[in-house]
Amino acid sequence: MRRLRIAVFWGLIFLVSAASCLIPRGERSGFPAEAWGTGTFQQEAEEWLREGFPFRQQLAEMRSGLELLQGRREVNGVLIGKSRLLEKTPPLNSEGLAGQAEALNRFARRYPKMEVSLMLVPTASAFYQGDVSLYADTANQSRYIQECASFLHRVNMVDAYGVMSAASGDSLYYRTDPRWNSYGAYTGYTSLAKTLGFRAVSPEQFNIEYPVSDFLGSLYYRAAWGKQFAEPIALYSYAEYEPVVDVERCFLAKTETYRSIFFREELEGADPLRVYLGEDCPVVRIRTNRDNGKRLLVFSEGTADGMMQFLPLHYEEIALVDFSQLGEKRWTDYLKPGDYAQALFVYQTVSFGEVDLAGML
Amino acid sequence: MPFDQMLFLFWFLPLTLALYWICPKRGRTALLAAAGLIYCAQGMAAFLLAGGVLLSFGAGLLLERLRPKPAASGILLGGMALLFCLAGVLGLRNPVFPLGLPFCLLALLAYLWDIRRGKLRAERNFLRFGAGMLFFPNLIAGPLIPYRRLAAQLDGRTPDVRMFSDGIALFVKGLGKKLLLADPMAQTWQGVQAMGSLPLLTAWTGLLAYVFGLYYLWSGYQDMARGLALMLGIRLPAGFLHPYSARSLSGFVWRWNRTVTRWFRNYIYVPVSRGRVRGFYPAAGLLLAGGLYGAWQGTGWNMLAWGLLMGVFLLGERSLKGLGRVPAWLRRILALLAILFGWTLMQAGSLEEWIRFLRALCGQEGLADQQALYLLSSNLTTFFLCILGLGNTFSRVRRYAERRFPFVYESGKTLCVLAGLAVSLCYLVR
Repeated sequence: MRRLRIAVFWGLIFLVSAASCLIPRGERSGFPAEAWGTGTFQQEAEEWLREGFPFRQQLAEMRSGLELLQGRREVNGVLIGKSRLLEKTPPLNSEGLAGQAEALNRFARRYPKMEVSLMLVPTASAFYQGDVSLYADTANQSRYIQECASFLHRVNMVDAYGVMSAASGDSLYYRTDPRWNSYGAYTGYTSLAKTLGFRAVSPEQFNIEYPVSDFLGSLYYRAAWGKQFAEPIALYSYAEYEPVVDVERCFLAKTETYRSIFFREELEGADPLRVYLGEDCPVVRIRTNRDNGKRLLVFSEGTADGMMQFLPLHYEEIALVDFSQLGEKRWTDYLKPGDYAQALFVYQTVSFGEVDLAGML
Repeated sequence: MPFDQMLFLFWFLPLTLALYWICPKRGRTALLAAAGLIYCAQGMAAFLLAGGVLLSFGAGLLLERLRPKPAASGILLGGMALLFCLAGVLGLRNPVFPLGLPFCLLALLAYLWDIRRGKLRAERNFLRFGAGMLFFPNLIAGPLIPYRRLAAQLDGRTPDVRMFSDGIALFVKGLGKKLLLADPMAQTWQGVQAMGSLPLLTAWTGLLAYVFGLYYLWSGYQDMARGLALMLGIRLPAGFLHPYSARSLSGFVWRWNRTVTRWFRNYIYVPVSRGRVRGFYPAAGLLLAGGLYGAWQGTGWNMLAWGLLMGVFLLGERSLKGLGRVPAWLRRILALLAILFGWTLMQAGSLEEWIRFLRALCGQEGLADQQALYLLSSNLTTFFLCILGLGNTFSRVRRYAERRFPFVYESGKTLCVLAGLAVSLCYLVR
């Protein structure tokens, strides 16, 4: 018995060591020997080994299963619900809220001809926390949004929370990803109608296609659990005509032009939800065949991407700015503020406090 | 390179063990010294650590020569102690902190002190000295072992099958404690810390998670260390002897990380308490030993305060003559409350935080909310497993089975080791 114990232990650690050297990695190619002595070596080497660990996903799934057996309902910061995975909402920082709102007020004062609006999109746990038995979200997102609204003077607050709350009987978010699904984005779009002054098109007027039937999002990979929650990705396109003429993606050194907002090749990639407007880039300009002279400037960290299935129906041009991708440049290096009559800030409640609005605007 | 990292488990460990066996007996000591150096330090930190060990080696030889001159040897020892304290403080602030520095410093100081007291002859073999001081299994979290006991076991011992397989079992047991109990408990505690309001139930759940997390982290690491040492043919003493089943505070202190407690007892408390004024010097010795123990554990004010508080509690326990007449179960509860009170101080980041947490434990922020119920229900099984592991029931069953049914015991142990290893692997790849 003792010899068997020794043999299995040795066999296991030698086999795993050998296999971890041979298994090809994705982005990391070689062992991070250059990090030796820098203080990050252990972390990088650990990550390198973990990436090439044999049966990694299966072992991680076993771990999650064991944790659930123990009665835990949370793995790696992901709440495991009856019908979905939820990201645990971190405590919302109300202290910086006045500063963020003031940055928006200043922006509105600087461009008095521009109508400025803010849309704070709650996370899924605001509506679906009941899915996790006994769980109560300590972050009160509704109060956070109201508090933010109380600091705004020249900026309109879009009531996304109220509209989404009313529609939350349907699934507004992907079941394995923290982002909203196309229907959630549609609900967000309808909440904009009153503030931005357009009439929302009813969902029946869109053709819906499902190019992916078994989408598993980032929460699944974090929790290594929830294969049963796989679901399709829905893409909405207006039934009567295609409003989008071209999509211009402006990077630091180059500009690329496409014919559609759907980047279908991304459906096969690591993050299929990049199907809306492709991978992250500083500025995206969407030109449409609507000849009404209306131009909308959208600042977002990616939350607004899904709404681009609907908003082009009402604007001649929409420009999306992602501050996190701008780098050294400013947004005014790409766009002329005077060209836009409306500006819309779209952020998730959890990420709104992290954006350096004062510095970026 | 903690033991629960893949880099250690799948690269460092197999490579070191394989080389240790292949290597002729004469070269094994040098191999252990090199392995220790690679294990605990990277880049410049390795040279600093090697320099520290070299300096102590020289100081040991010099101390032996100066032993007939108490003043000179005292100055040298004091100077070295000061240097070590400085190295400890600087090391903590260094981004590339040489792992195991606190334990290494205690071992070096004890070595020099013993030479001065004439209890130990200075080591003449630098490689053996280096291998002993940088013995990687007990560098991170102990257990401490007196140099003469370790040195006697070095010099190319080959573990037999029994030792090696016991080492594996002990290592896997420690790995399981760390990954399956300590880590989830630490996660729960972090969750409680991040909460805005703390009702009574949440605060107690958090405190329990902290207490269990701390115990299983330390005892898990020490089990792994003892297991690794056994695989190299060296026996290390046990550091944790079911401290929570102690009937008194002094019993707890004696069973908790006992090799370190013994160090502070032998090198701080005993010399100080030998003073001429009876009562005063032992009390001063206890407080000094407690304070230094706390300061050794971490740089925060709370660590120092925790050590002093434990010293005060121990003094109180000694001086209360009537405590012997109190029923055993009540004494145990009182001791447990004192221990928990001490832990609340250790976890606090500031005085306000500590007071707020104490108030929460008394129910000042409400009794329970839904979040508290969620937290408790999510951790119930882990709490149960943690409580089960606190007592010595498992040890008794193990001893009984080993005596009465040796084959069944060995088979069961092998199965448990394999299952523990498999489950730990699942947690390692997280």
